[in-house]
Amino acid sequence: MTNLVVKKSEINQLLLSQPIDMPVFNEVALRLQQMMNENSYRIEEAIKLVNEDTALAAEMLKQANTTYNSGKAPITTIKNAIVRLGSQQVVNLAFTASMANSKSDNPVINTHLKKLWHHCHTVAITSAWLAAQIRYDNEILEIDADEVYLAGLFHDIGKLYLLKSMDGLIKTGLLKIDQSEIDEILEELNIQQGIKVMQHWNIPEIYLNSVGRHNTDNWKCGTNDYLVAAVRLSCKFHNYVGQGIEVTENSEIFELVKDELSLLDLDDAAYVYDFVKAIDE
Amino acid sequence: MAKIDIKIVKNLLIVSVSGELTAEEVIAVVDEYYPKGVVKDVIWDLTNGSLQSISREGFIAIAIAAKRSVEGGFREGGKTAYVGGAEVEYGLLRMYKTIAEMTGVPVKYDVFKTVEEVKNWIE
Repeated sequence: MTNLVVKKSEINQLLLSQPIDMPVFNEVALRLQQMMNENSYRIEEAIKLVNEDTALAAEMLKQANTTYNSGKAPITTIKNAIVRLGSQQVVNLAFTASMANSKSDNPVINTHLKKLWHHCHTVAITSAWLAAQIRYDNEILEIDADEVYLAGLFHDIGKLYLLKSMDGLIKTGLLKIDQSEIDEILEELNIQQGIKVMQHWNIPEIYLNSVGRHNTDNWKCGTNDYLVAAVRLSCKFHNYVGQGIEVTENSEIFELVKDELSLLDLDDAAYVYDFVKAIDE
Repeated sequence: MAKIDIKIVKNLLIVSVSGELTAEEVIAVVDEYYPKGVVKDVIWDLTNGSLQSISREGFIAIAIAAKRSVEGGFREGGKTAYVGGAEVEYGLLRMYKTIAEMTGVPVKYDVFKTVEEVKNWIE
């Protein structure tokens, strides 16, 4: 037991000493976000930028038609995506496409990366769906489904950073680690490293909320509470789905998310759970 | 409000939807075409459609209408396929499939991402 603790603390130390500027985010996605935030970009510039990374551009088109493009004709070009979806959704697409492609030659790390991508994507879709529902049903106009989507996608960004760090250290032979240790470290350092990564890459403040407040008891602070509640609820429900916990109409599990349900004014939590389950399948 | 195109090929009804679909619009199609005795299999193509304005109550109402419409023995042994291209639509359709099965609609349901996948399942 003592050995394990010493070993784990050494691993933590090693991971915390890794450079924070590791490419967790795709460079083109970051530059695209900066460009779009300035609100003075020309469409031609944005198209040129995206086309610098052809793999990203191809994945963006794929994601444009599977994640976003509901109720419209297929999106076949980046120009089409920018014009039809708008700047925020194109930024979301770039980050979605780059995160979907996170891979490792190490099978254990690769399994974790796939699982993480699946979780973040499900949380992003569910959070955005929830945001759209409550915006119209409950007239909560301060919530924006596109912002909530990205907040959901980023909520576990610390885990992505840590997995990439571990991957690099394993490759160089500096780290040997087993499955359960990876899980423990991800849980322990996720938020701390996630906040550092977001700050380092100047990701807008609004998205930091989902990283810092998605897994803490004192999550309500009067700013962006709806966004945080949507991400927390989606994340918790997806974790229950992953653990095979069945949630029915009068389930006691709703007690654990009663604050989020109450803030979002959702009276049919089982419906939200069923949606998460359907997206997960 | 959605644009709904209807096509009947032998005993197959193909409903192609563009835009935001409401529960009332779905029920109107169900009531009009399911109990005619002509249609056995149905494809709802929502590749270009959205279901996001339909609530759980709306989906339940659709399932009840579907059950009622085939009570006279219509569509016996039939299948209903839903095609949802976008993730949210695909998720909502899977959820509806569960609701329809729980309501006891006596036809087979499944959800697909493309119309091509449906053809093999229907045949």
